[in-house]
Amino acid sequence: MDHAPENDDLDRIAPMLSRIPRTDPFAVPEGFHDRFAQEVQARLPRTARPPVWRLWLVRTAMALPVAALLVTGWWMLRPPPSVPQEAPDLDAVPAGLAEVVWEEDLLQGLTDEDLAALAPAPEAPALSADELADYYELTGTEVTDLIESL
Amino acid sequence: MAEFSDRELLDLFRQEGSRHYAFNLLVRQYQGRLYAFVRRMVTDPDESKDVLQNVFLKAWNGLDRFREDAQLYSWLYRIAHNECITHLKRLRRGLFVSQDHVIERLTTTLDKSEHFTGDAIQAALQRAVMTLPDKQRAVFTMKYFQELKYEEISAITGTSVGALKSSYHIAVRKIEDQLTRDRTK
Repeated sequence: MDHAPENDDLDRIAPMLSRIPRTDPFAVPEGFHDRFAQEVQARLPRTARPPVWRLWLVRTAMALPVAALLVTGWWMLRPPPSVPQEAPDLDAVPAGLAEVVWEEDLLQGLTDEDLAALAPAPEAPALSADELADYYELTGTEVTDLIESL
Repeated sequence: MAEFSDRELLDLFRQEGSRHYAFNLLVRQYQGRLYAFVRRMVTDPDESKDVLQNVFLKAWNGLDRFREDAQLYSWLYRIAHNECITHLKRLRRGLFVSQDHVIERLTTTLDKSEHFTGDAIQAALQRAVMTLPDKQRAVFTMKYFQELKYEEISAITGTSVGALKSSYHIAVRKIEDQLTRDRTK
């Protein structure tokens, strides 16, 4: 028997092992090899394997209804599209209400200073002639100059 | 029986009408060599037959995906190797026992088997081989008994040639020690 080169030094490293003949001591049961191939055949599936395109066709047919359901579900549950704000038709709104609405809208976003500027100036308090004379005297205003400037 | 090339077998297998015929040829062509390996790993003839049937069933299921850059024989051998390792693991798990108990069981099977025809020294060698861990035993069996090249074993087991050489060397030493101990008893 031809030994592989790696076994050449077997005599040296394993003298007992190398002296044992390499015969196969395992007897094969009688008729084993004649029956075995038939036994394997008996365990094989008898139906022919379907071609690959048919497998894909079946998979696609199964996947399509699921995909359709998913798309329908998404379509029904999707968030409503955002509608652009249209300017209100003023003719359709009662005049007073429109003014109130638009006035409120206009006032929104104004600062306190803006609002103060928009507020009407307080009316000057009415003074009597004596009070007015005292006021001019206190401020040193010449009444004749004031009359001329008017 | 005339030997068919891998190409011939695969071409026949890929034709729908001759699929079973081609597979039958494949089984007949490789069953002897694979059985010898499985039997040395599993020992029991009935269990060996079951394991080998599973090997060919897996081959049937995977032959469509077989890439022709490897040899059919190496591919089948790889399936057989994996099935043997799985079987021995399952045996250990099923019995809830240690490696020693499995070795004892295999040895008892060997001693009682009417299908073991070796003499006392052959039986001693088999017992020594059985003391090896499963994967190391597979490497030793492929290298020593079946005389496969390291490159072939590497393709079958997915282990590097260097690691295989080391594993084989250790296995040889262990077996030699075991044989020496048996002799001095």
